[in-house]
Amino acid sequence: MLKISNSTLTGLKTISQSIQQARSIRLRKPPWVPRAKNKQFRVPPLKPVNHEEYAYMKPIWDQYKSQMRSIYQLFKTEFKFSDKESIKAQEEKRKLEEKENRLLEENERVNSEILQNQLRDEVAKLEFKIKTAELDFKKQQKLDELYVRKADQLVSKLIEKSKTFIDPNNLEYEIEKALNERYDYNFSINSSGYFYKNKAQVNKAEAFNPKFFPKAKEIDENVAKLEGSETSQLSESQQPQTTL
Amino acid sequence: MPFKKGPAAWRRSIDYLKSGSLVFREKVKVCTINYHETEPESDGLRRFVFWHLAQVQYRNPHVQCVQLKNIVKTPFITFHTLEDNKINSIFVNCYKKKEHEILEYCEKLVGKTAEEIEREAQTNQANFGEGCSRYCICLVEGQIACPRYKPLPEFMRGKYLQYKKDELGEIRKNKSDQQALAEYWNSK
Repeated sequence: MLKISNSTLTGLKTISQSIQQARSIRLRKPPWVPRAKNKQFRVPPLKPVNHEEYAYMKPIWDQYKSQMRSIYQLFKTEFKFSDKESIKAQEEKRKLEEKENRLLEENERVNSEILQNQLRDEVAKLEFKIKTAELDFKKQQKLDELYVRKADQLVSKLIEKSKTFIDPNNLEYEIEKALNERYDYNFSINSSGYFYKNKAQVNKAEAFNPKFFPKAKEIDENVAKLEGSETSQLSESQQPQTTL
Repeated sequence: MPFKKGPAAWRRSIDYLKSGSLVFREKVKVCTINYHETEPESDGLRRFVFWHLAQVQYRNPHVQCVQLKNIVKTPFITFHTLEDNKINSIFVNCYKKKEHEILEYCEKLVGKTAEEIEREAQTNQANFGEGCSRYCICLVEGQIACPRYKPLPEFMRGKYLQYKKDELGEIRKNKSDQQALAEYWNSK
């Protein structure tokens, strides 16, 4: 008569629970489908457990399983034991490790080189920015000076013009003055825009002035040649007709 | 082949994906790629991601490849490795590098050589089962033939061991188990 220990009794309880769970599992049909008509009240048969046999087999099984599990784990981790391998395998492993370490060191060196390149590029960019900013500032200064100069020119022109402005209070006086003004049109204009009066070069104000009439001056020889050449180039019909 | 949408659609074809040359070593678990979408310095890395990242992910389905965009100015790749329960990271600076340079460098640093890949791709010719040339051990030379075509001797069959023990006993009177086995091997 075997003694049934406490552990086996608890083991028996878990077995019965798992068997009851397995009896109600349906693999082919989904769980929301109701039980079939001929299976509604069916209780599947339960295989009786022989307590004596179970009490005898359980420790044997446990021992066997633990042994197999330990062997499995040993085989799994054995390749990590370097001192149990052959010399050749150890050497190959060492070489691989050395190679990897060398590659990593080289990688760090290359990274530092690239970093230095990067820093140099950043500094160069900053300098370029500063230079362009300075140039732009100078350009802007020149432009401002130009604007100021142009403004001064306009202002001075206007000031000159303002001398001939009409005073609205003395309107009648100004009108009579304008009506009494006389202009002299007996002057000639060169093709390049110079005024001539009595063969003497004269500026615009003197040309229209009726009181100003210069004496006949000798014309420069170069001017005479030019005028002569101009007239000779023109055809006979285009030459100035003196007859009236 | 039908018309495929998207830029450079052949990047998504299986021929292209299988022709990827970067296969990570076992220690590499995560690969993070940092780059900028518009800066000219990360031009090479952007092209690398466009052309080669799909290939890398296809050849290494168990490695996580992450893209981190527009965070840092410099483009770089980190490989996070796990070796002997130690976590390390390997950095590769890709400032103003071209995509083929990056690929070659990564292969040298962290990838398997072509020989190793070939060696691992070879299958054992002696295997049988699904996916092999022989679907069952009965086709292997020197093994028992398929019992479908040539029934085994009675003492090896569960039918006689479980339910027909009397008939087995009668057969055993006439010839022993060894004799039955010998007859089995010698017959066709």
